[in-house]
Amino acid sequence: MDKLASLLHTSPAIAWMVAKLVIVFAGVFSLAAVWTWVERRGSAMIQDRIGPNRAALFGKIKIIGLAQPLADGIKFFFKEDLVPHDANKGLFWLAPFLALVPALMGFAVIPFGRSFVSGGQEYHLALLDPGNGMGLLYPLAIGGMAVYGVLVAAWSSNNKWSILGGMRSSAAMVSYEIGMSLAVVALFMRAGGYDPSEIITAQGGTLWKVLPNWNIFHQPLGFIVFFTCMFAETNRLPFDFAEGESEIVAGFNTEYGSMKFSLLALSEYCHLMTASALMATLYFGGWQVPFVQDPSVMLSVLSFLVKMLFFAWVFVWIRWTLPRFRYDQLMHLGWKAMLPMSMVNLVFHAWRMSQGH
Amino acid sequence: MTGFAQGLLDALLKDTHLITPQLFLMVTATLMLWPGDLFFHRNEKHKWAPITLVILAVTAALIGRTPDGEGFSRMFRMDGLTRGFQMLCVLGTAATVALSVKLLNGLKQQTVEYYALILFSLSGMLFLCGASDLISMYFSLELMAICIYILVAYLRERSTSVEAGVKYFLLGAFSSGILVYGISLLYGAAGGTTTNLADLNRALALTPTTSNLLVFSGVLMVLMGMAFKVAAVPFHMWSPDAYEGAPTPITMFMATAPKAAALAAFLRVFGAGLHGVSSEWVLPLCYIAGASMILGNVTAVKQESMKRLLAYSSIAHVGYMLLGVLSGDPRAGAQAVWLYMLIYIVMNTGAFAVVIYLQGKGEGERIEDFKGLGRKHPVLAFAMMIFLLSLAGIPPLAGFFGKFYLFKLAIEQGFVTLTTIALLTSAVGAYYYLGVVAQMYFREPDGEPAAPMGATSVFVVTVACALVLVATACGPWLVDWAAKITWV
Amino acid sequence: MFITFALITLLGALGMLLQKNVVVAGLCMVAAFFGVAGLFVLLANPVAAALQIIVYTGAIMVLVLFVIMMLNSHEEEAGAARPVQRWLSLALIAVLAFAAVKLVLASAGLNALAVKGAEMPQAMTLQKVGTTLFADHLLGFEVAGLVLLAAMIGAVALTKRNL
Repeated sequence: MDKLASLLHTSPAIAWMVAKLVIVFAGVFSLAAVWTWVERRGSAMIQDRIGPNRAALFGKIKIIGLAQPLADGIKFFFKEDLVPHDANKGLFWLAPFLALVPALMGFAVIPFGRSFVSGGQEYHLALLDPGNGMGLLYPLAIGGMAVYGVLVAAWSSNNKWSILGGMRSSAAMVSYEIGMSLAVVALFMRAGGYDPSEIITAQGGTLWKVLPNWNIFHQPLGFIVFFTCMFAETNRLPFDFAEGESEIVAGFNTEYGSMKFSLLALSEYCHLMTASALMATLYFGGWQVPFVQDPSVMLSVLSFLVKMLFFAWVFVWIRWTLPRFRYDQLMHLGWKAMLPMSMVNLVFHAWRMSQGH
Repeated sequence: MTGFAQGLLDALLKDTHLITPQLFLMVTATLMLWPGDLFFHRNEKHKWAPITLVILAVTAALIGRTPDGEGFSRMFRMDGLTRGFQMLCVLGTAATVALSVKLLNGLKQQTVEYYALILFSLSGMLFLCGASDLISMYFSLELMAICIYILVAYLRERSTSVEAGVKYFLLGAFSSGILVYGISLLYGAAGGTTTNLADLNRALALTPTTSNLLVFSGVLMVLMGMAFKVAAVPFHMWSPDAYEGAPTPITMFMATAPKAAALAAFLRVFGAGLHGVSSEWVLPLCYIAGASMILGNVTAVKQESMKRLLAYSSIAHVGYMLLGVLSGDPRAGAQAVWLYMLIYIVMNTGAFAVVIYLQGKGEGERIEDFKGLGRKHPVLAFAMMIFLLSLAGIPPLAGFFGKFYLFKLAIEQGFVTLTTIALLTSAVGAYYYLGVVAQMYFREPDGEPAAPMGATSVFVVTVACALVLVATACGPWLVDWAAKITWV
Repeated sequence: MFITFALITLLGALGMLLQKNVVVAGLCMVAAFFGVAGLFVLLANPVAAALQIIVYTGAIMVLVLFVIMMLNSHEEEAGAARPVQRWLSLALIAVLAFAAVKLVLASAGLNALAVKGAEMPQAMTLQKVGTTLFADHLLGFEVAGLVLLAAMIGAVALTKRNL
């Protein structure tokens, strides 16, 4: 770290910050890109097809089609950039960025490994250090912002399908955010704090000597609610009402093409990564390694990555196995199942805490 | 953590006895909505009215039994002032409920929500009467107001009702914004530590004189926000429209119970609370009171709709009552205001009962509908005449009694100009009240003879009429009651 | 930093007022909320900032935009305000703005506040917000809950087809 600092002529703290920025953003971005490939291969596997396996580097190295995202990127980059005639030009341009920025920002407070001390200085493996006062309110806030990308894209396209998609996704967002927040509140109560580091620390150790002391085993109901709401938040199937290609063409991104479309698509996958990271942090111990007291830094990062990618895979898995809900079913589920469930969860755990557990 | 929760629970339970009436109201109102409503068939919803009246009676009893005290981090205070005005609110609400049945039956608009919202609004008023902190005052004001917005728009098939509701709601939301802004300015001016009225008064009295502009704008904004709620000029624009468009029982409701509660808040905030900075608010309040009297009375003369006339007259009456808030002796002021409000509620109830009766037959909206009532329905016309004369403040009737106390106090406190205005505008008021009386007795009736009144309406009119007639005779008792309106 | 956020807030608010297109106006309002959230962070109150974004931009504005889209008011309103009123309101705004500036600059309480502010370096945390809400302002909090309940009943009473 000191070497990097002297290389950049700055203090270690700033160098570390820069390094973290690069690692996190490059990591999330490239993972998101890879996940477009995982999705297509996964769908192929589930539907007994082959999937993209032809794209090859320099026309030789095929590596099971891993170069496909790269080829897609190049293709999108050189496609003609169309703006519909009656679209609101400024907003039409703005929308992909409005979608992408929150999707990336949400990751900032999530620790992707344990903190370590080097040269008398403590280094945290999260963009925002713990104790910043925002804690987990931050990803909740940013998650709420993500809908603006969809909304603006939908409205500025001046297309009926798009507006339908935008309206659906805004309604879904508002309906599911409440249940999700209440589920998270129960976690705050258990950890006695709302900083991700506190939540993770509270999940160290074991439960009844046989299970890791993860929140999923303490609050399974809360996890079900949170898990479901995350699908609604990320607009993924079975809740992909913003797109709903069997009903409203391609929903909010009907009119989008070329690089702007690829940004929208990328933002969806970034969002997916952030959501997976949140689930890993909140309910599966974050960087904690089961049955290991103080894991080494590399081990903790690895543990976090495994959990996160597992959930990212679950997103893909569910997308290709479950059918889409109908819009009214989504509302029913949100208000009549998820919200009461999260309330029951909250009250139950408050009661347990008042009993001294 | 558990210790903290335990302490919180203890503190909560320690003070709940202060708000038993409100708790009772909220619980019963919620139970009425669910599961209560399941037990009544669609055509039986009118049975909710007697149940609501029983609930109100129990509430009144509970208010009588609630001991004095202060609680909830000094946010709520139960004392003579609170209890007296809470009783007035319950009285006004009970009259509203009693008069609602027939009209709503006629319109086929009986629902449990109507009665539940009235009860919710009442619980807001009960909180408001005892709010000794600007925060709790603001929230109870909102609870009271938001129910009334809805009740005003209750006849949703009628465009006038919906229009009135929307107008009232938009302006009300705006005025709430001003009120909260004023509260935040006062909070800042007092050093950002408290919103409790007593502490605020102490802190503000100590502030350096140069920061008075901050205090002044804060006080002024709070004054504006509250003046809106009692519909004092120049914040009265909503009231004639809202009065006219609302279902008539709700018009009566707006003219009585919420006014009593808002005036209690006025007395609490300005009379008892911020007297340390009285130099900031006395003059603006003088202008508001004077303008209310003049504009309310003068504009009422030109009205053709009975409900609008009563709306403007209520603006004028609020102007008179603000005299009591202004008086340098807040306790005597509160007593005079209470007395006036009690009498005003009784005579207003009577007048509205007659209007509602006529409206049940599709008239009563316009003053012309009263012509020849003396021929058609002599008893009713007589009662109406008594109420109108009392509203005008003609001697031996109750209205005179209330005005007398209020004006005497104002003269004693040296508000001579304002009292002169009050007397002169009372004379103007007598003109338009007597105009209605003239319509009833000196014009020939047209149309068919009158239909019989409902039992409840007869009861309400008789009781109100009797009270208005004998009030002056029971003067000493009334004054004794009023003397209980005190605080420590 | 303060200037940046203040500018975002101000421009957002102005844009919201001046934009004829409702959706753009709504987005300007979102920007203004963001500016306010930034100001909260500068005031060492990140909790308020987060709540500001969660509640206002995340929930309320989304609903507002939802309603706008549902009503689909594409046609832009013809600004038919009479010029006299417009000038009057502008003059009023100018006077008010002047008074506000004078108010802030002239108050000696400002200095006292500044001193106080320097004494409050501790960041607001969720715990403190909770204590304040549930211990000191419990009554206000509960009554606020009742306000929402009443509003909900009212919404049902006013819109449900068959009561």
